[in-house]
Amino acid sequence: MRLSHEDVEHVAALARVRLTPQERERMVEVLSSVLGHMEVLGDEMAGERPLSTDRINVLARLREDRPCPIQDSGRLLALGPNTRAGQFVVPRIVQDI
Amino acid sequence: MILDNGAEVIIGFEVHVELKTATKLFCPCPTAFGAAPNTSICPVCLGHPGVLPALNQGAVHLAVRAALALGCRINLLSRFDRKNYFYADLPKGYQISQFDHPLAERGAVALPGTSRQVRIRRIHIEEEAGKLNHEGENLWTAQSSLVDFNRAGIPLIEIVSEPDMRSPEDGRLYLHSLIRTLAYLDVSDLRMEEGSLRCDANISLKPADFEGDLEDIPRVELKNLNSIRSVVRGLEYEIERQAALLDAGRPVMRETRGFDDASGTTLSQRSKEAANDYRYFPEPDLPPLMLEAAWVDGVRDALPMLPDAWAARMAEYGVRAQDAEVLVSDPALVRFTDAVHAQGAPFPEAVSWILGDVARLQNAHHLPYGEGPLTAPRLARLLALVQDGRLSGRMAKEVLEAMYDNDQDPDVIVETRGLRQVSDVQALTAIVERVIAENAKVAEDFRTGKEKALAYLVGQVMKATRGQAEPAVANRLLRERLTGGGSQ
Repeated sequence: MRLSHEDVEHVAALARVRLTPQERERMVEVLSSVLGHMEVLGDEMAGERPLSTDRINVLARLREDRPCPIQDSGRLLALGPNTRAGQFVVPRIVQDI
Repeated sequence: MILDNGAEVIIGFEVHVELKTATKLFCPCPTAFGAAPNTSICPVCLGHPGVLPALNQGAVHLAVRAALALGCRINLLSRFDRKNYFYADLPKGYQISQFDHPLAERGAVALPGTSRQVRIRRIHIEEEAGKLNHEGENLWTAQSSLVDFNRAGIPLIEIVSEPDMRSPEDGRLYLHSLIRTLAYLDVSDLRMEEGSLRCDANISLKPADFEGDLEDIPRVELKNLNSIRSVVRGLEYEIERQAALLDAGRPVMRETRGFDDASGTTLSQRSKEAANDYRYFPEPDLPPLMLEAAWVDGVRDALPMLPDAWAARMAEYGVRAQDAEVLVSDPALVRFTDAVHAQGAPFPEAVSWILGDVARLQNAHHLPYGEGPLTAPRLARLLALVQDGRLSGRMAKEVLEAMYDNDQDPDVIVETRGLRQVSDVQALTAIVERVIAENAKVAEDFRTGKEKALAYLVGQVMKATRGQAEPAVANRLLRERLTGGGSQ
């Protein structure tokens, strides 16, 4: 599968990545190559494989619904670039979407 | 609902329900509502690099319970996927959700008072985002926003309906029925105003001449609907707005619009992503979720009786449909009524008392049904005393009120207050004759056709017995004496 320039621009916009024209050219080649490889894998698998048949007591292996004490949430908050009133500050949202 | 221009209203809902677990979906942070901002957070729910999610067993249990109650087929094998998008309340830049292998599919919700039902396409598990507090009047005017991640990672189920609703009223009935069923399961707080249940509505208008797939009609997703009333108002506004566009020959854009409660209007938020834009891919940090059929059967067997089954049971016992509808709207109320019945009280009498004086007193004392001094056995005993003729209705009300004040059994209150209805004919006859003698003019009025005069005489008998005469017996004896030429 070969991607177009528009495909790459669209994916870059969704990922909030700004590309130079040179980078865009390179990404068309790189991403097309990756997708081409996926097509080969798909052909080799010849149809959808079941996810797994191992169903041995999976639920018992899940985490129990039991709370743990919170470890120093203040330290986690302090990692934010800008905080106020115990909350993380983010810039105006509407213009960015 | 067909509009004047021939277009048909098409509505589907995506309802997010926060599950009532003790911890978040992928980390052991507590889920308590109302904690100070960012005090229930950890590196997992903040999306720090290198952390790994660990799925909460309790969330899976509640999700399966809800899905079964809504008639869904449980997929024994489901999978988690990353839904990628950027928004300030989403710390990882993706939400862990389920895409093409959801937990459950193909259920239905009956629309009360109709023979129709709305099909449920799927139910999947996903994590909640954080909470944004805009520093301004609203999202559109705020220059910055504050983020509280206490909510980030709380388990949700998303219940996706088919586009089977045809009017805002259908939407109201669907939500009413869905919330009522979920309330019986105790899987969520279900508080729309606090955000533990949120409804996004997809609405489009199908032009009269349209032929083809409904999916091809541009639809608007309505958000910020914080009550059932907001849902109805938002849909009504949006129907008018889209109809006006169609009438003017202008296209309806596929977009997300927010409902503004103050103005009753909807405002554009963003153009709607297609599934491709979310770039879903399998979550590599979680194995597929595999369930044992026997475990699912166990969850199904443990489901409580649900509202429709309760309503059918009430009907069998002769409860009026409108009373049954009120009873089944509250699981605690219907369970209390059933407990009173189990103690020997006939359903219709129990319902009449519970929806009347009991409801008034429980509300006045801010008590849920089944809690406080009025237990099911006490109410059943009180009703038995009335049925036996030992207490009049008025006396029973007095005993009921006293139960709330003194927290005593009805027999104790009856004994202490010396309450006992006099229905003994011999004892009452003497009093009746005395009342007639003392009220000769009124008695004469009755004889000459004034029916109301009898009520006055019954009142005098009640007064003479300090309320203990059985009114029906007093009434009968008076009538006999006055019309039969008895013993005056």
